[in-house]
Amino acid sequence: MELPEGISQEDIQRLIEKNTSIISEQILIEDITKKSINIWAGQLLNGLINVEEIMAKRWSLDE
Amino acid sequence: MIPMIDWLDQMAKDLRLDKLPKIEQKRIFSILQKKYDQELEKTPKIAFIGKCGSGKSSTINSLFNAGLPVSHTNAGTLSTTEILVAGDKGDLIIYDMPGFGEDIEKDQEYLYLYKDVLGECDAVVWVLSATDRSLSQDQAFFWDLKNLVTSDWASRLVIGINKADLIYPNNWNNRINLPSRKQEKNLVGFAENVVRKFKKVHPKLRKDRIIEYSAAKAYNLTRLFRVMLEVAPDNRAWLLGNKGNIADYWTHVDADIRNHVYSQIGG
Repeated sequence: MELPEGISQEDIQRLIEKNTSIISEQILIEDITKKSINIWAGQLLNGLINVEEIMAKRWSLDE
Repeated sequence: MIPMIDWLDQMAKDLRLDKLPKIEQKRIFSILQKKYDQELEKTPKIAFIGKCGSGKSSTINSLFNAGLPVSHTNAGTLSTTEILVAGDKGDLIIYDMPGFGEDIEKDQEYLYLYKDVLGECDAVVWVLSATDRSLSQDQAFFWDLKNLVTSDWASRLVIGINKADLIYPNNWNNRINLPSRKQEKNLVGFAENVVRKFKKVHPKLRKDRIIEYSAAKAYNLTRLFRVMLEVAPDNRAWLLGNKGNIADYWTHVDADIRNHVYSQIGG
């Protein structure tokens, strides 16, 4: 495909790298967000629910 | 926004809640759902600090599509503006702080305005302009703030170097929306200078907390936003992560070039 007028292959390469960088940052944003919600949820569960009690019930059911 | 079901399913698996009687599972899920909904109503808070003309309001607009008026007079924001940004991604409280460095008496007033706000913020963005190499006022203001505000706000600090497109020799490549090679080099030098100068008043400052960007060109905004999430408290970053509405870099690239790149990357 012909390059747009006045644009070099180096320009295109820089844009491709920029695109990769934006996508990487978006993935990181998603990862941080997911990790954070898990931390919040873990704290919530510990505060709200007696985990030991749940585990005890679970084991009694297993038996 | 992350659907609640994603983490709830994982939690249920981890705790093997599926082994519990259905009624018990339902009770726990109902509590979690309620708490999740309540948490979503807690708005994240972000402060933007910087000298007059550094581009705080335009930065806020470009990250959250906030629609703030951008003043070009000599005093952009005249008082602390608490903005409730309400959008399709939920609410967010932004403190658009008055720009310092205009008048010494006002700066003293601003210090106390900032003091009331900083301790509550999930992230604090210090906005510099790449066209202004004099950092002594920023250093002095930071030092005063650090001594005045005892909370650990400095650990949630991100330094943004705005107006990357205008850095010397001011020859931004508008067609591809990228800095010229000379500008790239100067931006690196500017960031190194910021690290050196700010470390004198904030020795714990990390280099990776300094981001060069351009609100006007939507350049490096995703990176800036990612670092803001990194500094936010671990259990609250998700609230902020869900609110970003970042201006699109590609709209600033010439359409024919954009199409050419898309055809190469399959976009």
